[in-house]
Amino acid sequence: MTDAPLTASAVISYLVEQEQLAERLYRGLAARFEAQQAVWSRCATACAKNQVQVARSYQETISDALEVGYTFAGLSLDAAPVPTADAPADLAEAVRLAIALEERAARCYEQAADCAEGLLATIPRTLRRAAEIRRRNASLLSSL
Amino acid sequence: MALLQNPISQPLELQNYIGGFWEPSAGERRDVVNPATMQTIGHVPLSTPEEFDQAVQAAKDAFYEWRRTPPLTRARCLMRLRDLMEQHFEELSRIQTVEHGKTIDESRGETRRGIEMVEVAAGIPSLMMGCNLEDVASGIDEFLFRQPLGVFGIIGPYNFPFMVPLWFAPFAVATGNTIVIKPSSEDPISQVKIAELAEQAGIPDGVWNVVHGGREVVSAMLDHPDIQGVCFVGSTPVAKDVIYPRCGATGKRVIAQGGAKNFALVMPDADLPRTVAACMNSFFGNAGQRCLANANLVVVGEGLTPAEHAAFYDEIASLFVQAARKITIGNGLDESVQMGPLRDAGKKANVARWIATAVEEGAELLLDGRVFATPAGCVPDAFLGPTVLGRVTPDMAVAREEIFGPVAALMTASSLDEAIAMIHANPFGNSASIFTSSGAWARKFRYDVECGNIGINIGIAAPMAFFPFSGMKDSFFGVLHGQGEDAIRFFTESKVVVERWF
Repeated sequence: MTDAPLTASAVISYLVEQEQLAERLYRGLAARFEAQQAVWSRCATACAKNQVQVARSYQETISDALEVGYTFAGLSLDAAPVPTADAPADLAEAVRLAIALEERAARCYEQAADCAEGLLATIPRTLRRAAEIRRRNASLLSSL
Repeated sequence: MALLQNPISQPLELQNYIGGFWEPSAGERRDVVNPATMQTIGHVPLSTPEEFDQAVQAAKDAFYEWRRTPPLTRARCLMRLRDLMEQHFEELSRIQTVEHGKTIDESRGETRRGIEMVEVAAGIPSLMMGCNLEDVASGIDEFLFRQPLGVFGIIGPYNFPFMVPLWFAPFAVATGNTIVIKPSSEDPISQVKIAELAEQAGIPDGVWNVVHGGREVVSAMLDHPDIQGVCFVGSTPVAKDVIYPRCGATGKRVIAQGGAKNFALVMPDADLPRTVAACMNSFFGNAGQRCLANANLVVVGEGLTPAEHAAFYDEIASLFVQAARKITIGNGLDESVQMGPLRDAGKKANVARWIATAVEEGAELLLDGRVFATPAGCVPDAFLGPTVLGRVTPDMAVAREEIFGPVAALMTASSLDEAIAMIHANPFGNSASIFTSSGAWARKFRYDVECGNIGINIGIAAPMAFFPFSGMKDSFFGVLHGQGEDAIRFFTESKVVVERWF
């Protein structure tokens, strides 16, 4: 992200894009580490569901009367992007990377939810739920 | 930040939609211009009264069958329209941004509000039910039916080109009436797209018509003997002096929504960070071009000493200016933009004149929106930054008159009573807001203030589709409002049947 102001549109676009990248990463890891395929696929599915829920919460809640342009003004999104290169060849490295990614994503959602609390109606609730899902992913990955 | 893709790749030649067919107009054409870039995105005809009459005839012809169409079937047409609007959600939103200038967030919000109108109107089998009572006298029963009236005219404003005609159109059609919409000639493309979707949704030919134009079409609508009622949203002078009396003279039902000068009160116990965030949207959203925008921010010193009140004012003024100064202006298709241009250069010039007048009258210019850096890729003609005026007093013209631009006037009142008296001294009565943590103050405000739409810790008190969009005093002329149950009653006549069987 740049230093440009964060409108709701920009934040939601960013979050959805990050979920897409994470899903793609996990699908790649599921293909590479077949023994752990169930866990990687579960993480990928969780990310896919988050994409839908986050985008939907915005599109179904947004109104001309909400503070969409200003709610996230103080938010600083985690600049570290989801890796788009090939998935790591080493399982331990892949798990470490994935857990860090999940924790970062969860923190990002929680910060966004804090900003939106009290202003954007049902959006913060969805963001907190997305954070919980990403923390569950992290917990699941820790078992590998 | 990169721009979202513009849905209009080349200028559109707009046509009227009459009786289910797209018809060219013989009238002169005007450019439709994207105010952010000043590029021409379409040409709109100023249709003739004869063309308007053709649309009314088509609507009148369609009425006979449409009113006999079961309400559930009519509702299904609206459900299909709603589904098509969802499918085209992003395209519809981006069109609004391109033809009006508002940000993409604001346009999506407008699209959502418009869709909600269709969703609520689709409940017409329940909404339109009458009532009955047995034995109003022994052996005599009485029934009330709600029946449609015929053809209604809808005149849209430029500030919400997609949503405002939908405050009326779905309810009119759901109740079995037929309609002729005259979109704003400044940004008519949204209504063309809706009509295209209405056609795809299977709404029968002649039920939903669109005729582009200006004053001649409005005049023809007001005088047409087959138009049963008119819905108008625009300025108070037109609503009060043209629409309302002419509808009265020709026996038409009327909803005439006019202008506004809305007050936001900040009490000493308000949550200031959230209040300021809400105020940025309220004062500067849609570049201040909305009838629910707050314009006067009154810092109320209830329970404070004069010195405390002065300090409270200074704190709010400082927070308000800091937040307003950070607002990014630019092309609404850029997701980082918080405020787009005004609709055109003339409107900008008008707002700039109001700012100059305010300064001449003694207001303190805390932030001058006339000074700004031209956003990248934009033409500055219609842009203004946010303006904040301090030490505004109720006698100043800027505190009384509707400016319809991104200008905030900061005022003071020593008590809640004094602040409410300021609201009542203003001729408008569209909306008012209070920011407070006190239920007692909020309740007093809600109870006493003579405005149609009240916000409590809400900057834009926009009623949902299932509530009427209210308005009082010089902000509304008529009896029933658009949206919700009021709209159902507006678009139907109550027929009472008293029945006895021998």
